[in-house]
Amino acid sequence: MTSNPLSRKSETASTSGVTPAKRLVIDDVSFSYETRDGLVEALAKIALTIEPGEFICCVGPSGCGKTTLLHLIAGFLTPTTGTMTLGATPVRQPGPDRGVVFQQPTLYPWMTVADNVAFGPRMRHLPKEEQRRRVDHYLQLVGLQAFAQRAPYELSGGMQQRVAIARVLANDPTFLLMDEPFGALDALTRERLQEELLKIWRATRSAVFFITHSAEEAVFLATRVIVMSARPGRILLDRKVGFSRRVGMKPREIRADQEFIAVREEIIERIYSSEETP
Amino acid sequence: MERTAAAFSLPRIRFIRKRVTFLLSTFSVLLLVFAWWLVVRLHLVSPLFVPAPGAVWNAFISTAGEPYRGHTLLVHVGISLYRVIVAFIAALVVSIPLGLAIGRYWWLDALMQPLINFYRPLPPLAYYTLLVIWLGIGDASKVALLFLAAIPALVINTAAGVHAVRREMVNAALSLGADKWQVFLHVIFPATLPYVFTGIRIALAFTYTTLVAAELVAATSGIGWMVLDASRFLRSDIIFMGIIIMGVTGMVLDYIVVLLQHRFVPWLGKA
Repeated sequence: MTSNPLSRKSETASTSGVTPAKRLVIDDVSFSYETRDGLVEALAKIALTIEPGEFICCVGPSGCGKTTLLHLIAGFLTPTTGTMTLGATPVRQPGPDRGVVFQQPTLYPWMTVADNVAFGPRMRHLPKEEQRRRVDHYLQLVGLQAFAQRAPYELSGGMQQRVAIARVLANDPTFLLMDEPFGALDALTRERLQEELLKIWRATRSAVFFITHSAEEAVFLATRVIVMSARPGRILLDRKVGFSRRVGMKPREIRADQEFIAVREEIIERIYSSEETP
Repeated sequence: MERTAAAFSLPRIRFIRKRVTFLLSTFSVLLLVFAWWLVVRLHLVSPLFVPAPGAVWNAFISTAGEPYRGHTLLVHVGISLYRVIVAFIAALVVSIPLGLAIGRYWWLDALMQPLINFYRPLPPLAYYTLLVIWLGIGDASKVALLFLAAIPALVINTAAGVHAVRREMVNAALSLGADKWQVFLHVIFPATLPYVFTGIRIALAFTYTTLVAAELVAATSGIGWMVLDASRFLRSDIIFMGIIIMGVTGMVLDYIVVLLQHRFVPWLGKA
């Protein structure tokens, strides 16, 4: 039942006219945990700076600590060593400035779709009027206004994931953290949601940290792709890509583009080689 | 008209199955009553042991109209239900917060664990004798007994519900800006409801069984006592009638809980 000193601090910062866009600095962060077989080093000295508005896709073999890194940024875990700061404030606990979308939608079945989207603003005691405005706005952004009064379990998996995205956006987060959000969906729905996510990202300009198993997805979405090694996770490749900024081109054309395929193969190559080396 | 495969679509099959289920269930009840009637009709056993269905029906009509040892049947059943409901509501008020707290705080779990584990397997009638000494033979001892009988299943299921809440559900709420208390109220509590209802069904059935047993041991009214009293005078017709009423009342109580469950946990099995 501790009050949240972090959010109070950041609020005073934004009201005093400091720019709201925040850079995330991950400074030599490592994470290890105790098991019966001894200490497991999940992440080894990660250094990474994410600028406002960037779209980072993180790929790597299973168990390489991608999710651990995301949980550290989200504040669900605390680094063993190193520091992490968002703007001027250290990251110590979860907060509405870093919205998380999980692989399985975590919508609350005891609430309607609209109430799920309103959850963040409601918990933070925003005015009722403002809550309603945000619900309308973000449900429209994900194309689900017609389903506002439905129960989440009446929606398909893809629709549920869109609601989960709208729910996070309703907090106007600085950061969107997404842990394989489209991994459980069929290929067609997945491609549609990728395109939709890019539209949303362009409209909101939040920074995105997106974990995926698919190199294709990473290259399509990201402005920067990060390849991580097998445990203990290290950053093997940190590469800028530009396909998500090509607004004029059709998604199908981008995916078939020679350059796109070349970059995709380069990333896949790097993931494979990371698995081979001991 | 030609029948196509579409005539047996899934909803249609479900509909037909529902109808057939109802018919089969009705059939099994009727078969039992018929067998009972036949046994009496063929004089296979003395009516002193197994009264005819008609005699039981007459016992029902007569006790419904005239008082049996002070109260009509409806009043006896009402007294029993009153004891169950008062005790059960009191048990709910205590058990659900306690179960939530035990699920949430490991140290409270450690403190309560031995007490609950010790008293849960005790047959309520064993400590009922003590309660009668302390509180007398009236309603107070019975309500206290039923209150105690209902608690373990409610507490254990509620606490299990807290443990079963997906970590991600809580993490999602925290990262949406909820504080610990809000997470508890808006996420953990509703998420435990399916378990709470399971606890309610188990506890209510157990409480009701305990009540009838308690009334059989020491009482001056109630449906259980009515059966006990009738046995002293070898009134098999009233014993049979009383047992049937007990069974039906128990079914109705359970059905009410199931209806409430559909109302409050509509997502059960869907999410």
